[in-house]
Amino acid sequence: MNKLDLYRSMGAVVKQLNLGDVLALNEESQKYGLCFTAAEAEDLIESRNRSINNNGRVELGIEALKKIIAVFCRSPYINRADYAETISELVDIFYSMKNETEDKIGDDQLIEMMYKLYNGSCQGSLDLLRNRELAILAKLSKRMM
Amino acid sequence: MTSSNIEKYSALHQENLDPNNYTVSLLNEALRLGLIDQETMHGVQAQAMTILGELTRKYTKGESSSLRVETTQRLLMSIFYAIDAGINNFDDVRDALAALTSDDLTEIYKQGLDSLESNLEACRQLYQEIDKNKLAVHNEAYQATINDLPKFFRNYDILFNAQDTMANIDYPLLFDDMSVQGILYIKQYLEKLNLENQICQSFASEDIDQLLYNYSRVYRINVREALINILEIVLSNAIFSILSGNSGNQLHIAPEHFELLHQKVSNLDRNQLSSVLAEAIETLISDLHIEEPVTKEYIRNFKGVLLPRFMNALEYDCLHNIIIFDTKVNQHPAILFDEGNSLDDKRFRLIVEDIMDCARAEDKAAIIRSEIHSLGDFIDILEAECLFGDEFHALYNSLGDMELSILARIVFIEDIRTKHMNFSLANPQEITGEMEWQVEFCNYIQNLNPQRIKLIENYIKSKLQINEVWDFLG
Repeated sequence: MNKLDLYRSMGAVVKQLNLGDVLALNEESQKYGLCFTAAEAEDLIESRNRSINNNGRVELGIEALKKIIAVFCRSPYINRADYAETISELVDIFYSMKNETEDKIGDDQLIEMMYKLYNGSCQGSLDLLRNRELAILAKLSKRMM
Repeated sequence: MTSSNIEKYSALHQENLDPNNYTVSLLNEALRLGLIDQETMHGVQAQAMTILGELTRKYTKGESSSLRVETTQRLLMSIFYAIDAGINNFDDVRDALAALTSDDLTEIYKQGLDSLESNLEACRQLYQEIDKNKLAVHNEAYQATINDLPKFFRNYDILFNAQDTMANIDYPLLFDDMSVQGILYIKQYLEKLNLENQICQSFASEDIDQLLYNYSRVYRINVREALINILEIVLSNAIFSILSGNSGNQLHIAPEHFELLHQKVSNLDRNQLSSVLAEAIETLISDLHIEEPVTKEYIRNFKGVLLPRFMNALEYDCLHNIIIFDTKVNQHPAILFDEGNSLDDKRFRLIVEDIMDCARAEDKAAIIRSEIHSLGDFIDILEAECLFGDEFHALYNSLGDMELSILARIVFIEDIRTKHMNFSLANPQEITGEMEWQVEFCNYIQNLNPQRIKLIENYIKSKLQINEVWDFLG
């Protein structure tokens, strides 16, 4: 056992638990016409795992993914066809921003900021959200540190 | 327990485990030997992750569910450092394994945190004692290490960074275990520093000062800035002092004692030298009235350091490199002011030419030491314009206190005549004459340490050893 491997070693058991958690969020998101199939939920978890690895982070559960789903399912700019892909992209933007802001902004606050910008100045454009709005936020937060 | 289990457990040895990664190495070794299965291992891992989750929540104040890999790694190391402290109390490695696999890991973790807190408090108290009784030596690493330790106590983070030894520890101990980390390293460092201080305090501080001064001259280093261990220098000379026939708390070794010692040990083999050293160490312990077993052991362990150096020095005939003489008695007069041994003019001129041909001050001084034997010839050489500036200092460096006092009586003759016993070499009022050698002599004397100046002054004020000086001066 290496110390960080113990995090990775939980494998299939954790994945099963997380799948259930993601699918449970369909109950709320269905009110907005959005839901995941089991396959989409599984792909989403895999995508989240890749994203967190690529961004050099560790998370013991999927709290961030669940919060992003719970908040963004209300967005008027997300439809059924691109729901899973959009959430996947938002999760990657989220973890990237956590690094850019050096963990100075809490999860809830960051997700709220992302939601407001996505629905506001970005009008549903993930590209504008990542490369313009949040890039500015990252620069501002570095200056303040 | 079945016989196969007994065999497996017998293969589980403390020495195969990493003391700085105890828990993880123990579990891995137990898994390898088949003493635990994967399911048990997963159980321990799951508990560790629960602790990590809780610690992450505390670290982020509940505001973040994820951290950078490096930060998580650091938290995990801190967790296992505390768990290691929690199971370190088990003498038997089997008991430690049983606790890890059957007890609540969170409880072991909490016990470990308590243990670390106790160690931290013990360190604070040790530090108070060290700070109160520290040696009055002029060594920057020693003083700065002790003075900076409070910063460590303020910054040490038991919860999130228990494994980190974030202290400026520059002063080298005689025996230091740098494989240990965190508060446990600091504790062993302070315990040993305290012990070393206590041993050094068995000797007079002025004797230690003199020894360090002599050491600096032998090795041509600045003892104030060097990373030296004071106990090592003190113990070395104390042991050789005993071998020279002195008592254990004596650090001074006279040249004639060195010769006796050299004769005593030069034909001994390794085993005999080892016995001789061991015996001297026991004499030292007895003479210093050391009772604590830990202190005795610390001094005894020094034999392992000293013996190879001793043997090496004997093999290459450089015993004078490891035995530090006291300059008070060590300096053989470089020039024996023997007025019956003056040079004729021709020989004097040849010596002056030889001196002028030398580029290095040390070479000039060496010629003067070997060829000039009378005070008259010596003063003539000083005035022969074959030495300049720092070259005078190189020559004066080779003189003993008595010889320097004779020159001082020439240079400050008027001041001495005026003030008699009130004359102060540290604050002479006037130089008699303005020759370069006299001006440089005055500069040289003023740069000596106060103790040496005092010794030379004592010679000046005592009965003059060579009455011809007054006749010579007319």
